[in-house]
Amino acid sequence: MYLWKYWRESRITFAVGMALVGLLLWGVLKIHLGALLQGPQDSRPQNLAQLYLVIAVPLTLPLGFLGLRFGSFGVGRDLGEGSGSFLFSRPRSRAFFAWNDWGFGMAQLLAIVLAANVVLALAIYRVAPGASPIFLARQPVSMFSIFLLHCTAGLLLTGLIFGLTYFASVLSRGHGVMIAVGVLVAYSIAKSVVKHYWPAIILPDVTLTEFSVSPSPTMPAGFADHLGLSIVLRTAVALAFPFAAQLLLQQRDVD
Amino acid sequence: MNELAIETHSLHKHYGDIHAVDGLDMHVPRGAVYGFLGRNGAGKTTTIRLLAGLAHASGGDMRVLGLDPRTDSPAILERTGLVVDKMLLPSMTGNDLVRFNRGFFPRWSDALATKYAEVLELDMKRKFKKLSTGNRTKLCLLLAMAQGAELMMLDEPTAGMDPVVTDQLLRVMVEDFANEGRTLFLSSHHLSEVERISEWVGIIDHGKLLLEGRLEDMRTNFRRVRVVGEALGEALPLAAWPDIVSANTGEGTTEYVVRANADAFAASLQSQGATVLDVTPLNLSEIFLEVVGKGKTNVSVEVLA
Repeated sequence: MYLWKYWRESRITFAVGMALVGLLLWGVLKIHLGALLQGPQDSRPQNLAQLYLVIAVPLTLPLGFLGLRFGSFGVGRDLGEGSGSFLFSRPRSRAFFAWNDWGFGMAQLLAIVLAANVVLALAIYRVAPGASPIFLARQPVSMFSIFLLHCTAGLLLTGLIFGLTYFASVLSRGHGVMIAVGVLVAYSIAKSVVKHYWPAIILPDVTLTEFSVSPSPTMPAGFADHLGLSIVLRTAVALAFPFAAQLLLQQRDVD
Repeated sequence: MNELAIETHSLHKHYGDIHAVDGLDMHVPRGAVYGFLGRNGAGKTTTIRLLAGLAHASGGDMRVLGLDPRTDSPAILERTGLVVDKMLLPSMTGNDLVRFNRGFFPRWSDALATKYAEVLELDMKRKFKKLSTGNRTKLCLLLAMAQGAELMMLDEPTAGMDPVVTDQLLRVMVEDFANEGRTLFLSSHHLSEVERISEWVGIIDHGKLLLEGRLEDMRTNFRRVRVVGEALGEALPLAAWPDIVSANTGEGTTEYVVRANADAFAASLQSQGATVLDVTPLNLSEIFLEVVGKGKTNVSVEVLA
């Protein structure tokens, strides 16, 4: 029954998110998919890699927006609206509320990320069946691997922003979006400053696009080799936020 | 089985320097209608929050239905109807809230929810945020009462309600709770309402319970003794009569309020040559004012129970 409450709050965002991502994919594919069919056969892998780059970067925006929106629902919102006492006087532990919010929010984000990537993969398969894009490793990568990596990247991006916003909403009683945007902007600025003054230090990007699609020759050698470790670390960071939210809820007096 | 529905020992809740609850010792018998009285800021709401597990105690012990709210809060809440803030989920209608709530409580009754909606004249299709203050309170009460709870903890349950609905609500509370052997614990400023339905009363001030006992015992034992003479208050050492709650002199008379042994006290005054004008009983409102009243010579009152 509690999930029904979260669904009531988030269903419009979910529908808008699906529509937004669908519209974006449709637009990008309509413009760029034809390029795959043009040119000699042996240039298709590079074109395919280029297509992923073209799609992945603009997809970051709606996915990030959805992470922010979903993070603003649930307990943090209830605390902001003054209904925390009602909610927490239902006979469930505070951890129950935190993890139900997080789990259901992530499930919806997963659905959006999966839908986007399935549509993308099917569209590419329809035009260029059997093609394998070539990325940094200079070796063809199977479409399934790319599909998995993109799903993971999308989920980690949205999961990180969602978790951050959720925690900030609990912390600030409903003002999580502003805080999360502030943190993300501050991190981007810090990343640029560090890159400018200490070029040897590379702060990780909030997305995983640099692993999957970036054809940048400036990327340090061996960087892509740490993909697994990077995914684990990013997952840990993304999960730290709901844990922190749970601890905060358990320690806090509800007023 | 523990005979007390609620029990606290030296319960404390501090917010920085503010001692919202300061060594509270309270005993609410099972099956009782217990009126929890106090002035604004006396610590009533904080106490209810502590008992419901919504706030963390700074010290002391408490048991609700034999369980500790610090560790067994969900088990307590499953058996307890609580109304504390009168703020539900704003975008839900009454019907939505019933649907939301029923999944949490195994003894939830849709029939009771429908009955209370009629009795309290509630529009269940209206969103909570669009309801008036009184109707919001009614909806909170409806949800708490339809849970089939063993214990109801209500903070100012009739605030914002008109007299007609207040009357209906009190009647329902007595019929559906008091007569069913369930425990009703309600805080209120409305002494007449508490007096009408409560069997037990606790009076809290500055986080401490000043008085606790059966209302009937209070009515029987509390007396105002009026005697001629202004200097008697000083002549009679208050410490010699621990039952004296207050002593006030003025306009040629001295008024004593005693919590027990009024006749013996009056006889003692007479034996000292005083003329006793009358010995009169006090209603709950007068008892409350005497116990927590300001600007008078108040003496600390021990718990009667």
